[in-house]
Amino acid sequence: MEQSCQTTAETLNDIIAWRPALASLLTAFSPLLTQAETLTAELLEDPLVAAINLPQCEPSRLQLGASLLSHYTMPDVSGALAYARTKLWPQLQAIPALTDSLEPYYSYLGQVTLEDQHKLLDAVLLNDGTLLSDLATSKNLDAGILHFLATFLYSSLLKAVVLKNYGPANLEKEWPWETNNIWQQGYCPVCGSLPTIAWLDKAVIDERNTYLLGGGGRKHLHCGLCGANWRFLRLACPVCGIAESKQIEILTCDEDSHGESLHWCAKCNSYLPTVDLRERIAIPNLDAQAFGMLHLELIAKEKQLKPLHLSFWNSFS
Amino acid sequence: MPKSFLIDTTRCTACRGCQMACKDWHNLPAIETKQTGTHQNPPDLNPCNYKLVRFHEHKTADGRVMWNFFPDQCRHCIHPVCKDVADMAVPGAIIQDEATGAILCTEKSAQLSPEDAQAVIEACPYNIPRLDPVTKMLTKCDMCFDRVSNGLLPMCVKSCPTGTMLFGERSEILAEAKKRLAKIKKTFPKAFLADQRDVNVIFLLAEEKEHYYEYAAF
Repeated sequence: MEQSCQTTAETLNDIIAWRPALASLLTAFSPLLTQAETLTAELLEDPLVAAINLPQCEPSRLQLGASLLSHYTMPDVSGALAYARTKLWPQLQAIPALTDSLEPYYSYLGQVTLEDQHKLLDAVLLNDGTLLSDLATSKNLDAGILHFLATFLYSSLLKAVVLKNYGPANLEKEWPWETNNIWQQGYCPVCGSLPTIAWLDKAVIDERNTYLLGGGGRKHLHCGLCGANWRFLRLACPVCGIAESKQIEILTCDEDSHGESLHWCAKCNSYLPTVDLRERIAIPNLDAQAFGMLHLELIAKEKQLKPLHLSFWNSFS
Repeated sequence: MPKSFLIDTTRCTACRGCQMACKDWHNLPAIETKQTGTHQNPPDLNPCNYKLVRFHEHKTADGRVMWNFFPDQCRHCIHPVCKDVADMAVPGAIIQDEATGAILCTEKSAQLSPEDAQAVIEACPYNIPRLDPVTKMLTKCDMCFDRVSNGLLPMCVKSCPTGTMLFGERSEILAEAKKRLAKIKKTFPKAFLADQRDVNVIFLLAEEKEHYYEYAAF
């Protein structure tokens, strides 16, 4: 059955209903995440985005583990960045910790040079704000805040560009790199980022089998930065890449888990939030779902595990 | 938009996993029953069985035996007659949940007089509600309201190994039902979706309703 995905707001509302303790935090960021989702939908229709042609999927390169953007130079997207900045600004300003310090970033992000764009994109793709230290110092900005803002702006843009080039795809359809399992890495086949969440797919009717439903439960990884999904070995760690028995441990919170768990690697201690869609009626927005599993990340922090992908909600100390 | 079930009887193998899963989730006790010459067991819905796989066999014109299975349950009607009748006696005895479309018998149903309770039972075009002699409440499938409200699938759907049962948004279920019907009609030209406009539990039947169960459809 073709099922539509929930919106960010619907997913967060469901989670708040199940876990009222997370309400204040999820509600605080809900407008920003919702607006980012709207922005991506708008950018999909933007002629500037339509003009960006990402590299073709070459099976031979993908089989060697080279992500599609690894040798690609992004063209000038200053117009799209400025538009994204304008659309997200009210929601960014509403975050109390940022309200008083955002002004200089607004003017800077309105007209970013091509050279700076590449520096920002590199820092976003490598998820490393320290790469922006020199750039931020020269502009009298804070590297951490700049990285946070750049991640939001580029993420909305990348999601639109990736969907335009390699989609359309919902969670039940294959992306080009999933055909014949040509991509077998733990990092994103498009942008090379580490995944923010994994999901186990739903059971499907196999037309070749009249009497039994396919079991579902295959593991897919989701890139929170560019929105790509890809299949991955269920018992392997995306970082180590090794699938050995007892390597992946599973952490759940309670019986009423709604299919949510953390899969963590006993070798490298990194964890990845995972949602089992076989337990769900609706298909959640995966970015919102990852944010909504914060309670498990707190437990992981106590166990001294480290997130596979650092996001604004799991970078606490 | 309410939630709906699709029950594609052409995929049902009568394993009765749904029947058992329903009993298990609702913590319903076993009951004494006896062999009545059919695999349908217990013989009918009762306060301890909200879901029952009904069996029916008949001979076709060319002498073949058709054995049909019908996982019977409340249809969660869009305009529930049972609720209208109950409301006349005890408002709130039967309620309709707006978000899910579930029709639920509440504790107030115990306040219905035996005559009123019987009137509710007889009003149901699908012969579903039963009166619990111990609690005096009306009983029937509650769409696993506690699970569905928490984003989880009803137990019968979750336990179905054949893909007979699907559950989701009504618009998506209707779209899938029509898709499956078009395919099934190639093999069973008389196949149809039972009362699809009136109910939230849509049965895909391969033959006329009398070859399944008297109350399978209007």
